[in-house]
Amino acid sequence: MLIDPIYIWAAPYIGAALSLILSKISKRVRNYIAVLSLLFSSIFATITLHEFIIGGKPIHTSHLWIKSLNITFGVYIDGLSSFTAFLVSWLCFFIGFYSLKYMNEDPGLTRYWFFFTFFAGSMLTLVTADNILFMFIGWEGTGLCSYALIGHWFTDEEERCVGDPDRKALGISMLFTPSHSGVRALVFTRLGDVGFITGIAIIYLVLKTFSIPEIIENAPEWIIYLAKLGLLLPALIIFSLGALAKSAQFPFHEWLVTAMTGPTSVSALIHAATMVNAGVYFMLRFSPATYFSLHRIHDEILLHMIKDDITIFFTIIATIGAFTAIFMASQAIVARELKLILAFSTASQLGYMFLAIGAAGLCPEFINGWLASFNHLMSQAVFKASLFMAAGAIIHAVESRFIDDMGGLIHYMKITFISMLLAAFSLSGVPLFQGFWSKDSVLEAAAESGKLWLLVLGTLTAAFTSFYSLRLILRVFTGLKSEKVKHLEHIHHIHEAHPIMLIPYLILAIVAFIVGLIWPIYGPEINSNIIKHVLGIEEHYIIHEIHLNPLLTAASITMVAIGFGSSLYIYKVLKINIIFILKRNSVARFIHNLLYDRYYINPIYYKVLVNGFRGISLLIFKWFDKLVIDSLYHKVIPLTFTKLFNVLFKHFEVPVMDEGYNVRTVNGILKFSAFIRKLQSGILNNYLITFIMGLALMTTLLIILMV
Amino acid sequence: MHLKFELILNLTTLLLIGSGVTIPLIDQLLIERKRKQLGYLISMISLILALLLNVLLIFSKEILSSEMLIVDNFGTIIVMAAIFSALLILIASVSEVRSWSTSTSYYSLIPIALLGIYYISFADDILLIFTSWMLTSVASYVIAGLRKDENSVEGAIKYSIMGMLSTITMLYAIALLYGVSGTTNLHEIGKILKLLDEEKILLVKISLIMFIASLGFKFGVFPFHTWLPDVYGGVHPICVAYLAGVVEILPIAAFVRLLSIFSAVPTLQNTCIFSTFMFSILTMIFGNIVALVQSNIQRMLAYSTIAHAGYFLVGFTAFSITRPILGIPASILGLQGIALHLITYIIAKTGLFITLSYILRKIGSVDLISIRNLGKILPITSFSASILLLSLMGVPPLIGFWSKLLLFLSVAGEYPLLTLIAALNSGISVAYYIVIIKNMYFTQNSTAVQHLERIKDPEVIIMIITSLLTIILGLGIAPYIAAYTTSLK
Repeated sequence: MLIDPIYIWAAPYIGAALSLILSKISKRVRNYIAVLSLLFSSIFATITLHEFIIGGKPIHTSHLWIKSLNITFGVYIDGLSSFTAFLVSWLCFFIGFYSLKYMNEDPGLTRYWFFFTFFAGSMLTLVTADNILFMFIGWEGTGLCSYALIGHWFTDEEERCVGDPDRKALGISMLFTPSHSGVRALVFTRLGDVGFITGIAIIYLVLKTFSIPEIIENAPEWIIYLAKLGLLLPALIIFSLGALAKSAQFPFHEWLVTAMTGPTSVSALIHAATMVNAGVYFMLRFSPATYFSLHRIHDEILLHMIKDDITIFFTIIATIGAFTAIFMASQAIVARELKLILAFSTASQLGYMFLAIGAAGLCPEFINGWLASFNHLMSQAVFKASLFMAAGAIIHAVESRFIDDMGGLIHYMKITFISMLLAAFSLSGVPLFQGFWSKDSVLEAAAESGKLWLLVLGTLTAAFTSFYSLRLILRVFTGLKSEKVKHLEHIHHIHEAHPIMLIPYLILAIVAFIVGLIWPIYGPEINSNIIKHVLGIEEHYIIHEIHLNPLLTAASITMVAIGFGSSLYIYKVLKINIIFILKRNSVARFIHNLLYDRYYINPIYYKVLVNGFRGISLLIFKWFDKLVIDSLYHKVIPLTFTKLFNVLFKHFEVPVMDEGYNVRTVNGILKFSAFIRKLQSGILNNYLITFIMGLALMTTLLIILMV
Repeated sequence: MHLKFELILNLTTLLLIGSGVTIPLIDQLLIERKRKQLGYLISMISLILALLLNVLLIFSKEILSSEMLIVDNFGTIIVMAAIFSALLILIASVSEVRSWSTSTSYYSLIPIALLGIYYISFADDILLIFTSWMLTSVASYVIAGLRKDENSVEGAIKYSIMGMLSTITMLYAIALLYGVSGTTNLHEIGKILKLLDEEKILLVKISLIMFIASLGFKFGVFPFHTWLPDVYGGVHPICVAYLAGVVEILPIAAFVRLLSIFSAVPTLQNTCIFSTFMFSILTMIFGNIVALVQSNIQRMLAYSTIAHAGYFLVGFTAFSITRPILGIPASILGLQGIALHLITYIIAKTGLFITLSYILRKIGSVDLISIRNLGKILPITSFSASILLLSLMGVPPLIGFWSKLLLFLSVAGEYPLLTLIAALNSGISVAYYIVIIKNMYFTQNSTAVQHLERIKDPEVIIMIITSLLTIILGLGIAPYIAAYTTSLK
């Protein structure tokens, strides 16, 4: 072994620490060190991938961490983790390179680079970890960085928000500020993580190990254990909740939409190319064990029972995926914000991956669905990162996030147009692009699963996808120049993005195109390497050719054609003014509003959950001792949080916010000390009562506990 | 040998009670001009003599005992510490107390209160514990109210009423203990307790809890601490110096005597551990958290006293643990820790409250804002106070480091959780101690700085002595003291 694969994730962590330290010396050095650490990490990942392919056996290094619990921290490199680490690390580097220019002159750059590199480290930890606890640490690290970076512009200027300033749905404001969105992301993903950690605990209880290879090796053991208790299906679903939330699947999808308040580079990296794929990665990691354990259970009655449960589980996963795919794609059709279109698209594409992995469990050939999911993960990551970076450049140039303010940009940004077109074609699944092959294999898995609705939803989504992809290109680059563009023309010339920004997304778009071209030749070999020695897949598969089902391919191409055709027809031939139609036609208005307001899911969440809790707590407040609740809600919790935030952000805040926190902390302490003063009342009667109560309580405790 | 130790004890008693009684008498007889100085001198001479006499006890090679007394190294050590500390306070108080109308009472109450502490340190009998307790308690209620201003009177009244409640509780506890054992001698009680059945043991358990409440009341165990912030935080600091620096020994010495009997009974061990453990955690956390938000230094130190009560209880928890740590039984380690921490605590609290008194005299206020620039106004005092604060924090190589190390280490084998909580609390406490130092040295006030310190002031001399002791004891002597405490067992 040339190099310990641990450096893949250690390098970004070291970069994070260095960028903090070096920020005091020189800003330029800090930026370069951060990007350099990402480059090193990608080089290590590449070397590791090369060694894995050459060596032909999994690389497993481990170091003892907590002796008493037998926890190790180590790296497990099989086909899945080596390819994912390769992809993630290079994307991190490209997007880090892009942000050198994109985030130029931002006052919070130290914070930005710290979390950016810390994210890279956490994501790579998650991918390469050999034990589930370590995986969870990476998992949480990515969540934390995502939260911090979504709220990067915590000063909440209107231009950083997501949504229309004055729009309300069911009385709930649809404008989301960065700081609010950050909290939303954290809350939504934490909901799922509770399931994840419960799953870890269950597995540890049964197997007494955290090691992923062992968990997968002994999968039949815990599956049988849970099946005997009748808890297999609930346990599997609970275990997958973290993945569903992380990958923004319905009903957890809302956070990803508003996560677009972060810098575009962050959206590209975390909310399109890497972190949101963690959920899919999790499914890819653990589903083979679940599926193949069926072959290793010999008790007939038990097998029957387990098979039923597992089939239902995969059906649920596939259905959630398919539903999310079309659900989110439909919303992308009417979105007016460039990044929002891409966000909807991301969730929709992630739905495809879940569809594929779920369908895999229902197909006769598990491996086809599994590969389809992973291939789609890789191609989506590449073209979506490219699309997002290009979108960032456009938003930067036009100074607006609304596509209404764009139009006719082809005259100014030709290269951006070309790269965006290539990536959009890949996204739509135009034949011979990378996205075409992966989407086709997803649809094939759906067809093989034998569930018709999966195929129908999947195919329809393809039409939606190509429609909104082309709509985006047409509205942004062609047509009449908008008022805003004309206005900007007078002030300064709108020009092509700076090369540092341009190069990364151009490269990725070209990669998406070229890989698509060579896929029929090299695809089988790559896929053979990917499934080589993947944990849980014991048989040795060799893929000989890329399989195409003519009927299915025809259907999918037809769908792309329908999508492109209708988009062209509406925006180039009819040149419809949407607002005009909406004013006239009430049905169209209803549909538009339904889609535009995200099916009213968000207001419903707020009305039911947030307001519901508020109502309950008001009720409690009315009836319960005011002092207890009062002190908890207004003193203890705010104090704890201000303290916590103070410690967390102490070193990252700009002076403005610093002052705010200081004022808040001081207030918190003042309130706390007022509370204490209440305790120390100076009234002798209270003292006597405290004394007697303390004595009585202790004596009672003694007698009750019999110690 | 017996003759010698009984002689020493009798002579000490005579010195302390004699000076305590004669000072008020002289006050009545002499004319105005001379009497105040004379009371101070008599008190000081008797304390010095008592200290010298008791030094002889150090050289005894065995544990000496008679019917109601047991003279062991632990007792000797804390008696020395108590007399020494009382002497320091007496010397330091002269410039402040001189102007009080009650100064004579102050000089006479110091030896009288000391007598109770002297006997409780050697007590082997619950009746002796009780009488010593009463003597010192009543004296200390009076000391708290000596200055006769509003805060002192309020504090003294609260202290005495709460004190009565705790004394009643202690009487009940003694009654229960006597009821089941039929004797008042502690060693006899220890033997009888081992033979008792389940039902009677329950009574002993309740009596134990009552002992903790009544003794804990005095050294600030939560939730029996309520009077403490009002008295330690409101009464004039020179009186508090005596209450915190000397009277605090009273409950701890008594508790050591009682608990070493109780914890030797197998059926009681769990109760001992449970109660000391619980009270220790509650007390530490309460004291430290509340001290964090105080802006008056005197109140902050009052809450720090409560926190330290929690640390002492950590050592008491170790009494019932037999498993050895580093080759020494945990109970021995706990006793050593308590003795050493008592010395740390006495030196530091005496010095700090004297400092406060000095600040009050020179500047007029003891809140965090008024001590800004103190490093320039009173350089020697500030520096010495900083050393004492660092010692309370447990910074090596000061004596506080060694004592905290022993205390926390003693339970580490059986209850690492308690060690962890204590260490965390110790960490929290750094936050408020350091604020004092920060305000003295690193926060600037715009007003012009005036040098107010005079090297001849007795407070300054005492501060130099306490800080030097803290350093010297810390530089290697502390472990020997600890080993000496239990060397005769």
